[in-house]
Amino acid sequence: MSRNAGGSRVRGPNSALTEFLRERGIDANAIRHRYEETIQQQATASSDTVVTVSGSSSTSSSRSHEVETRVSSTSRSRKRTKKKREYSDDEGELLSRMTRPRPGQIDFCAECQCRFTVTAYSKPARDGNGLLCHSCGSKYAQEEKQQKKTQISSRKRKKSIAAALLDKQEFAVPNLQDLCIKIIAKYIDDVEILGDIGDFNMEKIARILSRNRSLKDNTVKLFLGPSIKRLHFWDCSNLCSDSLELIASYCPLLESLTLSMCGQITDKVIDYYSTNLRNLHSLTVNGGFLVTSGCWVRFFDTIGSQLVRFSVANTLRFNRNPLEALVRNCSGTLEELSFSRVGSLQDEDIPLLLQLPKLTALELSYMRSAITDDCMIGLLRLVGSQLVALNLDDSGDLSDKFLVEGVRPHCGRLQNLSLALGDGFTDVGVRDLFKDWELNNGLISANFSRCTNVGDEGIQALIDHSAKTLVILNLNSIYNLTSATFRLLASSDCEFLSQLDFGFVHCVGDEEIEVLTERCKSLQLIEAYGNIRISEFAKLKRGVKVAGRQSDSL
Amino acid sequence: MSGDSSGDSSDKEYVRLVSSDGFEFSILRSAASVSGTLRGMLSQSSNFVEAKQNRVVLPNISGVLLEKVCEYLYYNLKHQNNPGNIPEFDVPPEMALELLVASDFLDGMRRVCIRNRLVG
Repeated sequence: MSRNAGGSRVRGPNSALTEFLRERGIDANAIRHRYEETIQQQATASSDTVVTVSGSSSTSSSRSHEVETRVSSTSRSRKRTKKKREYSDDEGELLSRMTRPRPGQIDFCAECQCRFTVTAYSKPARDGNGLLCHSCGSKYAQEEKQQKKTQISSRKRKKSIAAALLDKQEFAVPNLQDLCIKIIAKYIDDVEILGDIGDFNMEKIARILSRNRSLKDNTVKLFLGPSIKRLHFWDCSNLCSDSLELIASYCPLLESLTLSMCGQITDKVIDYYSTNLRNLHSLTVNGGFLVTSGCWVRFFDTIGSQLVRFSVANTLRFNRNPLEALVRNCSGTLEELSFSRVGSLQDEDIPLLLQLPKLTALELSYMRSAITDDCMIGLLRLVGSQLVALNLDDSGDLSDKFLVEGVRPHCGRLQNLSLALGDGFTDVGVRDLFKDWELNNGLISANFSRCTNVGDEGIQALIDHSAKTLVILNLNSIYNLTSATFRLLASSDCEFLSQLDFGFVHCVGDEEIEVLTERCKSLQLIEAYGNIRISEFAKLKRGVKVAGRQSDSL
Repeated sequence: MSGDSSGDSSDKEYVRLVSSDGFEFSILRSAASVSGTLRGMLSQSSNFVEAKQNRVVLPNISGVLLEKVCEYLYYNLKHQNNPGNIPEFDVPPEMALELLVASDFLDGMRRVCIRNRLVG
């Protein structure tokens, strides 16, 4: 392998390693040469010291001169060896590999000191100086395998923790009851009768079945019984109207009925409910768009006088007529009323609600065109003082005027306030609502999600007002907030705050979240979607779930 | 609520569960403590005769069912600390209803929460 034969610059193909070494100017010969020099220098240095120490019996001057020269030469050489040693430390790995005995040679094990033949597979010692014999090396093989395994499994674990967090599930070994319920739900079509398993489990099973979409006509009978008072079906999309009627036949003592996703419910069913369910005082129908307004009118005329809670959502057939009937019949008893996504109600219909003096909870969400400042202020003037819960999500026409002239002067008992998607509210308005709001003792839950025009002043006023009582706080997408607000939150002694959502609030980072989990003792769930400044290194207090961190799934 | 037992001696200590048809199952105390009801019954600080004898009679649970229950108790104990990738616990469908009643009685085999896993 004559490299420079005839001064030729032709270079054939080389391995990646050779290219790498050549690029860096690392030359094996040069290193070996330097190493050998180092060894030599060390040898001469030690021999020098021996000579100077022993000393000769020459004249002092000459000796001192000798010593001087000796000393200077040794110091010079020491300097050189020092430099060499430093240099060699940089290439320590390479160097040690160069000086390591080659495969086939004999070496002494770094641990047990036994003689052994070096092979290509001999492992280096833990501290790097030397090799290990076969038995000592294989001792660690198990450990290394374990390490690798735990690494892989910890990565898998992280992923499954992240997935569980996103579903807000508790990350634990599954409950035996839940396991059984899962099996029952799976085999629901084969099971004849469920027997006595308690109301609480009935609901759990119903929930699981709804999740699996196994709540069908042939399985619904399993959940009905003469003694049932509360029924809550989350997904009735597979229940035809006859099955829904069965509910009233089999459960005549029903007091509270909730039907979600019940697209197949018809007038006939509602009529049957109104005549057969003598004890019904709470009805929620979500998605019952087939029920005509005339039918609702009949319903209220028949059974309205005993209704305490009524909620309807996602229908376009609930308009002024049913509302009038409701108001006419339920004014003495109705306490909780909820309309969500009922596009058929207009703003001139809302004042009818003034005739419900017993109202304590009101929801008018996603009803953009129906809600205006003036009509709401008028409503609050009448019932505001007894309202405990108010939900006006996505009522874009409301503005600060509503806050200052409607909520502030009247809603002394208000505990749950939800004003999500309120782009009409500004920082000043929210501040004016909460600053020194003595009428109200403090909110328990506050939702200002996507109120993008609100900022530090408003939220800080909210914190100052309700810190001692807040349990749920939603500040999602209020991106103008700065960390000053969160520092205030942390220092305000929010001992009951357990759910906090500050997704897409850019200022929140590791620091803020650490302080928050540290100071707010009841914190259980933090939703941090879209907070890019929160990393996996944030030190969180025990028991706090953080959902939505980018690093969780990476 | 975790199924941990107090003191080192209870690690190796065994307790007995007796089914309605007379089958006796000997299991670790720590496994039995996964169930809230059993933990309370076997708690040394109570005056229950069960605690004194370390033996619990369950007249409403049959032998077959109780065997499955014990299987679950060990399953829970074994995978307490790593609920991420655990094998599924097989429940034959014909047993599912009765097992549900039994587990409901035994205080639902409370979940073992994994605390402090999120400490950075």
